[in-house]
Amino acid sequence: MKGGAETITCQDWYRVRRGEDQIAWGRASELQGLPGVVFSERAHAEWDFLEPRQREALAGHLRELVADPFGALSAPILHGGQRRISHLDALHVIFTPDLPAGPILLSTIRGGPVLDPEATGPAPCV
Amino acid sequence: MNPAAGRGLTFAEGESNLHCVACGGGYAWAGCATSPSLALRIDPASLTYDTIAFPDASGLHDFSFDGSHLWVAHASGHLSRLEPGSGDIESWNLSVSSGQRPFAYCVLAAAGFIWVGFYTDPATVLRIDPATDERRKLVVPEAPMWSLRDLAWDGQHLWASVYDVPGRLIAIEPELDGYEVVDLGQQNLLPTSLAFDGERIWAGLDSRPARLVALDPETHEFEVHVLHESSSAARGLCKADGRIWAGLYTQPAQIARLDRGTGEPRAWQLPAAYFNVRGLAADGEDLWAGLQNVRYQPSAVFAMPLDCGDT
Repeated sequence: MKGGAETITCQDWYRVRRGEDQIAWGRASELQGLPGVVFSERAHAEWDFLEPRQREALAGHLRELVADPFGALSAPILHGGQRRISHLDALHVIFTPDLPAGPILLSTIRGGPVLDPEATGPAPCV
Repeated sequence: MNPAAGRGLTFAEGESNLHCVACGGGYAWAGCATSPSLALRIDPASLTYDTIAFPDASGLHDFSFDGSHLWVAHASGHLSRLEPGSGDIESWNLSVSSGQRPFAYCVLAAAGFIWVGFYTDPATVLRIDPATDERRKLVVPEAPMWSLRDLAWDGQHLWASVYDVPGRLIAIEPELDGYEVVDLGQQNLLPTSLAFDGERIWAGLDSRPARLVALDPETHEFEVHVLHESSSAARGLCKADGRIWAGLYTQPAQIARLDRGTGEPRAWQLPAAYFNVRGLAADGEDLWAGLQNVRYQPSAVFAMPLDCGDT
């Protein structure tokens, strides 16, 4: 990923803001084997919707973002302050690095084949 | 204002995903974005209610009371007129000239017209004369898809909020033959609720802390009020008791307003079972908060007496 800031849709802004609020209110968690990534409640629910192969790919992607949150895998969001976006296939990973060396705070991974937990109910048992 | 003196009502299973509240016709009303759409008609004294379903419409998103009827906007592209006493419904299938899905997100009865805002790309505003059914449309390129959140009338112009960054308000000529865009700046992001207090247009922002913008409709100058540190997302605004109140999309829900004398923000927290305000309305005695709660669990309303003797 190269170039300047990216624009996100108004719907994505909504998802980002809900995820950020959840993190601010402590409704957040880390996943085993993924240190340095704080999932908002909604990001965690979105993770639950992924197929195992998608989770595996996304886990690797997130490890790379943790190692280099400002690197070529992500771009700033236009008018988004510290927020950044990264794409993995059709997934939109939106996060904020918890500066200076803290975890990345994941507000949403909504995008592509990720079903929206707000529109479809709780994650299915898999 | 004292939430401890308030009364809460949690609805039944399936009466969920509340998107709006209104007062009118002797009732308080709650609207559920379900399939089919549901309007819950609440007796304010007893806090009992009955359920009115819209058989052809789904995704109820907004109400507006015109003094005799409740107008209802649905995501399915329907506009309905509901007679409060009988519960009789008349519905129309709306369309937009672009041929897109006519997702009706907001509705306002004002100045003798019914105004509807659509989640099209870009946003569309429709004006309907209910006496003649004459319809006019305006497309607003500065309002991208999914951004037109609320409408308000200041006596001269229609105002629309654009849920985007930077936040924007649109002042629309009543004949829909022109408009002006007011850029609120990057810090004043995601305006999502509107109200007119008789002098100024107020916008509630989906920011954390929550912000309220008060704009002079003549000069377009505005001032910004930042609420307390634990506030977020002013999703509901209404005028009651001569001033503007804000409902916050927080857990538990919060209600905020500015002090008359000092202009300082004050806030009250609702009981823990009530969260995520999606709308506010007032009937002269009570302030009614519509609580979305978790989308798949029953929604609720919470009524708080306005006359508590405070300033």
